[in-house]
Amino acid sequence: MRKSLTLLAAAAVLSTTGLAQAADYQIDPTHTNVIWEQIHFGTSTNRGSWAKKSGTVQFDRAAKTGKVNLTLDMSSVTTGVTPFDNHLKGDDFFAADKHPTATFVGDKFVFNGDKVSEVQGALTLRGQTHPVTLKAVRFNCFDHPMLKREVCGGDFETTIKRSLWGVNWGLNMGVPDDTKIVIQVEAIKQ
Amino acid sequence: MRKLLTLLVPVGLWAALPLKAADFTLDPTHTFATFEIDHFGATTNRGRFDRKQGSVFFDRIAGVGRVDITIDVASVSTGTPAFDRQLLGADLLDAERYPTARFVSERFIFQGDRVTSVEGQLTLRGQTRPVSFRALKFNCYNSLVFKRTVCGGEFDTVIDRTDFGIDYLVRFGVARDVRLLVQIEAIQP
Repeated sequence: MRKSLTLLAAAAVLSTTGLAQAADYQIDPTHTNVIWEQIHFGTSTNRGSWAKKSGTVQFDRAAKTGKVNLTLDMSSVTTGVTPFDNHLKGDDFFAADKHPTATFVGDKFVFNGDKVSEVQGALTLRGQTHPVTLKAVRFNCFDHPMLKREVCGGDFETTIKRSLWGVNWGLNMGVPDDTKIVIQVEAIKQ
Repeated sequence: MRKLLTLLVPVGLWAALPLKAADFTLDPTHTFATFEIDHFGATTNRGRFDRKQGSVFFDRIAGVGRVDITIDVASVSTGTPAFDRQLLGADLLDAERYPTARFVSERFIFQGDRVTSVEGQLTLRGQTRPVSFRALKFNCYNSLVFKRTVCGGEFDTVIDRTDFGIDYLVRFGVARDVRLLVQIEAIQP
C-alpha cells in the first residue's frame, strides 16, 4: 500500500509539472477579470470591468492546442461611477437588454516554447462577431498549494475598434474608437 | 448622464482658457487608484478604490503643484467579495484600524509645461513612506461639461508592501511589489 501511494504521489508530481496532458479546465472567476480601457480627452484612462463571468478551457500543453470560451454578463459592468455604468449598459453602448452577454471563443493557441503567446478567436459583442487576437503579456502554469490542482493562466491584451461591433456612441464627438482590453484569466484543471 | 456626455465635445473647439494658479477641484468620476499584484507568476490581481476625496493646487506657469488625496480603504473593489474582505482584514490593509490611505505631495516635477512625476509621502496602514509617482500621461483640456479647464493624468509607482507593514505571506513567496496605478483629473475654478 505504501509503495502504491508513493507511486501515485510520483505520478501526481509528474503529471502536474512536466507532462501536462490534454485536460478540461474550469475558469476561476476569482482570478479572471476583463477590463476595458479608453483614453479620456488625451489626459487619463477610464476603466471598467465586468463582475460576472464564466467559462471553460481545454488545454493540451504537449500537443500545443487549446480552446477557451469566456462569457461576460454585460449588465455587471462596473466603473465605480453608477451613472456611467447605466449609460454603458444602455443602447448607446452594450444594449445589455437585447444582448445580455459578450463571448470570446478562442480556438487557436499559439505557443512560444511551452507558454501560450497568443490566442486567436472571435469576439461576439452586441450580437456581432469579429476575429480578435489576444496577446499574452505573460503565461504560467502552477500547482496551486490550496486547491491541490494545476492552474494555468495569463495576462492578455488586445485593442479593438468598438465601431466594428456597432458601438458607435461619441465617435462623431471624438470619443476614441480604440478600446484596449486587459484580461486576467486563470483556469483550474478538472 | 447622456446629456452630460453629449456635451463632451473634443478639445480645441474653443479657445484655450488661461491656466491660472488655483485650487483645483478633484473630479471623483475620473479619479481612481488601482493596485496590481502578481499571482503565482501567472497573472495580475487588481483592485480599485472607489471612494476618495482631496485637494489639488496647480500652477502650470510657475511649475508648482500640491496634492492631498485620501482614499477610503474599505471601498476596495476587486470584483470578488471574498477577496475584498480578505484585503480589508487585519492580515492585510486592516481597514478597521486604518480606514484611510493618504498621499500628500508638494513637489511636482515638470518637463516644460507637463508634469512628469509627483514626489510625496504615502500613508498606508498607519505608516508613512516617501513615494514618487511617474506620469504615464499628463494633459490639460477644456471641458464643455464644466466650462472649465481640466488637468489630469495617469500615474504609477511600485511600492514594497512590507515597507508599510503588510507582510502577509511574503515569507511563502507571495509578491511584495505592488504597482499603484492612478487616474486623476481636477477642475480649475
